Amino acid sequence: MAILSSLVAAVLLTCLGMSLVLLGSAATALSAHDAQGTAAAYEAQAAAMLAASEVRVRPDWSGVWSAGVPADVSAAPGRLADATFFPRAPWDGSSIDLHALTTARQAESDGALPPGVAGPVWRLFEYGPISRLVPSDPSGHARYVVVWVADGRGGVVLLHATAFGAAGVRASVEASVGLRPGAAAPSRLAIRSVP
Amino acid sequence: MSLIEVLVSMALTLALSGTILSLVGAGQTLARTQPERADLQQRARVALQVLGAELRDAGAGSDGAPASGPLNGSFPPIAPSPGGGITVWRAVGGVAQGTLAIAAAPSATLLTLADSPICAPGQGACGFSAGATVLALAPGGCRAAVRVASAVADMLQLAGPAGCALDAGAIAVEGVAHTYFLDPATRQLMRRDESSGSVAPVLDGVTAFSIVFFSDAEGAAAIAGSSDADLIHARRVRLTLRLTPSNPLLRIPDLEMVVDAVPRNLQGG
Repeated sequence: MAILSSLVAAVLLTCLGMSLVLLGSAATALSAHDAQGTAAAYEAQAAAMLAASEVRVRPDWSGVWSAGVPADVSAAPGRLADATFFPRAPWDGSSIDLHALTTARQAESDGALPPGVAGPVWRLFEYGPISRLVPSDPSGHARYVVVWVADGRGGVVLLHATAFGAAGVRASVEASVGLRPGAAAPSRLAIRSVP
Repeated sequence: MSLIEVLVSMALTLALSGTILSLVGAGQTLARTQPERADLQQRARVALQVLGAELRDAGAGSDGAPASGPLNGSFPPIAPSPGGGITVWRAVGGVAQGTLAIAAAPSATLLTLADSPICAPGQGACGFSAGATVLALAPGGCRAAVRVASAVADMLQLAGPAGCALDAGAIAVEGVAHTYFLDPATRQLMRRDESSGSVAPVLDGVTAFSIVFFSDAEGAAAIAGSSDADLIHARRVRLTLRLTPSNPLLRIPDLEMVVDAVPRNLQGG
């Protein structure tokens, strides 16, 4: 009798425990993914801010949005420029194709435009592992950031920054730099997350 | 088997059964309350995500030429609304932006846009499409969020009047104006789209919602007034929500959460 009741209770407790573990692990996975996405969003913002601060102090912006070599790269790229256009992903060592990402960025931008409107031409401006900006903790920032630049016309530089991470995590931020009415020097006009 | 052996075995069985039953009882209580606690945490996460995203981009303005910069150059893009909520304004970016070529009266439902570097001459409304929300903003004066009924050449036909006078040169930009407020009857956090007037629930089980504005990014100097002149200096916003469990019988305490935001478009260049 005692053995039987012990067995029944053990089975019940095991079921309850397993359901709690499952609940906990689902919440942990959600929370981890959420944290990865949030970190990527802040890193994309950091990359956009870095690019904006570099663009602001340049006396001539024509080189920023002009074609370099190859043509999908800015003629005057920023300081966070990797040595290759096929870098290793910081999270698993797989290859990242920056040319393909630029083509996808252009297609996405063109696709969002109303018919008949000529959109901006995007070029690589900053591209590198975000850990180069936070060398004290490279393993905590296993993401790769890319900032594209485009001529916003009328003296405005458009920036689009994306942070790429493991398991398809990505977050993007857009920013623009130009002269505010009445201002003497260029400044950031707007910065916004891209859904 | 002697009587003593039977008594000892019964006592052991009772003790063991009692222990096991108390463990099962505790397990059942845990199993009942943990999903509720998890739900409370998930609602807090949703609140953080929705309100955080809204506040993060609050005040983003037009970035097309003529460039205008953040909205707090002319009015507070985060402001209290009647009934204890907040209204948040932001431009969404892209090519749907321009300036008015001709002044518009408060009752006008047609806006004529000037030529811009983005569109071909005479096609100032090229970036707009029907169904979008246009923010019509005159520096220091009118601000309105209206739905676009149609966009043809340089004309924006609005679904309703702007409700205030717009001078030539006023900014017209695609954007969003949302008001978040607490409905005490349903205990839901609601979101109203200011261009269409449509209201939708965002979060269940909210019993309190309060806002504090600060004139510094560190959150040391709270803003006492609620006029535009006071709130245009806001650099930090603190929203406090009290979330309550859906089953009061479980005696789980309320969860108070704070969304403390330093909106990046309100911090200067």
